Order: sequence, then structure tokens, then C-alpha cells
Amino acid sequence: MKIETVTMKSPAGELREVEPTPENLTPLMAAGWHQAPQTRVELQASESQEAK
Amino acid sequence: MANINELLTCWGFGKQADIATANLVATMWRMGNLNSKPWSLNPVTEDNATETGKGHEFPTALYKSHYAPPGHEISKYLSAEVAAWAFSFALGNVVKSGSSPNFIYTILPILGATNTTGLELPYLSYVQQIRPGGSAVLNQMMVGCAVKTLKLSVTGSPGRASAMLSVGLITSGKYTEPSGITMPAETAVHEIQAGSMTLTINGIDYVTAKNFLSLEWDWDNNFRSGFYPGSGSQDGFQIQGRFEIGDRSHGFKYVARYDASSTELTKLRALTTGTAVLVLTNDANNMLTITEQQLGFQVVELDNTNGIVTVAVTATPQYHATNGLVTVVAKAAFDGICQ
Repeated sequence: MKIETVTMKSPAGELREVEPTPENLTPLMAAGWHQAPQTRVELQASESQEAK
Repeated sequence: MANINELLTCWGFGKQADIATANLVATMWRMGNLNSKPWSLNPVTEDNATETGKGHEFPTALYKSHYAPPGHEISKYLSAEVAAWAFSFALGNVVKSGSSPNFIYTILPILGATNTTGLELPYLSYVQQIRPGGSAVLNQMMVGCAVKTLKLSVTGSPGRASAMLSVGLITSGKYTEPSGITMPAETAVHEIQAGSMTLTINGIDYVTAKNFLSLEWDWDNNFRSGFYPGSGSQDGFQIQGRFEIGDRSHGFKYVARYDASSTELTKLRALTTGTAVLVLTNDANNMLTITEQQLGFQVVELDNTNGIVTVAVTATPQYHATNGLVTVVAKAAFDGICQ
């Protein structure tokens, strides 16, 4: 079974996919990370599409 | 003439694009409100009483100043949907995960230094209508509303009122009249009553010990005034162009029975801190979990409640170095809240 992940974005712009448990999300969000609107795969696909 | 029970209200469960752009009806839900007072726009005028040259001290003219709508309270029985909405808009940093029927909203307070919208929280629109149509008594949409205060109350009495949410809204003064909104069907919610509660504070499981009486959790964003040169106007009255968080305040108070094994006074004297975890459940897909990451006791006062010795504790939520102040996890069978 595929584990669900969400893509988080740091204040510096780093993207990281994490399992969305409170234990994983709390320290990131407390440090200013936010949910990115798309997964990294979707972001890369979107960026490559834009490059074309 | 209109009865107040004809008042229809709906508001954004999704967030506005910015303070001036209203929600589309697709991102609004219709719900009732235990607070029956309609929201008033309260335009404010000035006069020329203090100006010289008139030969007397009385005003002779009125001038438009600004819109000063008072705060408006949405008072609701606790439900999974409204909890997810209220905490998301009050605290601001929201991560949505899960899928139907189990959406999970993990919510923390924003940090001004890193929040993508600076000191501003998400905005929503609020619609109030009485007999909308050709001769509506009331049909307004307030645009650019924000959650200023939030209070969760849990009491020992049974029933729907055993767990309540009170949400204090403010609005910019921008409005649309008529609203242009066709009121959607009423949104079904999953209400949560106090009988489902579990609670551990600073290492003590109060519910298993059958010692717990009541609790109040509150939050205030203490917004700064949103008037500034260029903040905008409507009908010649200035409106507010932003709501920025001020020094936010957060309270946590509770009352429990006091017995020989009670440790509240000891922990206050020792300045002991720990987590507090409050869980209120409708079912596995509709529940609210609040984790205070580091809680100390500020005031511990002995009292009596209906003849039983009790202890009233005013706790001090502290900012944990790694986990921050508070984490709220709201599970709800409703998609798109604060998105």
C-alpha cells in the first residue's frame, strides 16, 4: 500500500515530501514550513512543461 | 417586519484569494448561528463641531469617515467541520492530507517571519440574508473577514452545548449588496459532545480518574488596525486593507475535582511543565485533537463546585523549542477547508 505524503516547503524554498503525521509535521510547521500546493513529482512535471 | 429566525448565513470554508476578493459560492457553506444578532456595517461619520468660523459650537454638517463593523460572533455546537474551519482560519498554517471521507487538517499558528502572507491570516466572506430576492430585508456579503478570537468550551452538562465553539470575526468594511449569492443547501456536520473527551494534562489522565469538570481553550489574534493611506474605500467611507496579527494571546483554563492525589499545587510550586492532549471524537473520521506542547501552571486555586472540593487551574501555554506552541489536528469528512 502506498504511503500518503504531502510536500512541504521550507522558508528557504526547500521541498520535502513527508508522511503527514503530527509527529512529522509539527516540528516543520513550527519552523515555518508550509504545505506546497503540489507534490514534487507534479512540480517537476509542471516545471518541465513550462520549460518546453 | 421580519423574524430573526429567518436569518440565513453562509460563509467561506475556503479562503479568499486576498482580502478584497470575495469567496465564490462553491467555497462557502451554509450554517446556522446560535448568535442571532445580524452583523452591522456601522458606517461612521464626523461633524464640524470643533471648527471655527461658525459663531457657535454646534455642528452644521456631516462628513463620511470609515466603516467600523463590530466584531461578530459565530457560536456553534462543536463539530468536526466547524472545528477544522475555525482553527484553520484562527491559527493560519494548515496542512491538508487524507482523502474522502477522512480529510486531516494539521494546524499550527503562523510565524510572521516565514508566513507566505506575512502577518496576515486567511480571509473569508460572510453572507447574511433575510428573504433574499426582489424585496429582501437583508442581503449582504461582508468581504475580507478574519477570525480574531476563538474559544472552545467543554462543560460537564450533557447535550449539544457540552462542547461549544465561539468564533469572533472581524471584517474590513468592504461589502456587496445585494450579495449575489444563492444560498447553498445547509451543510451537514458531525457534532461532537463532551462525553467523548479524553484529556491528559501534565502527565495526569483526568478523564480516567473521573475528576474533570470543565475546560476553556481560547485564542486572540489581537489584530492591528487595518486602516492606512490607500487601504481603500467604499461609498466614500474608508475600509481596512489588511488585518495583521498583533501580540497573540492563548489561554487554557480548567476545573477538576481535588483529592489527596491531586498534583496541581505541587506542579505549580515545582514549575513543572508538560504536554496537554485533548481529544474530542464523533467517529474515526471526525475528531479534534489539541496538543499543547509545553504547559505550565500559573494559578491553582481551590474552590468548591456543588459541594465538591475542586481546583481551578489557569495554565500557561509555553512555546516549545522544537514543536512550537500548539498543534491542532482536525479530522473531518469535508474537503477544501481553508484551501
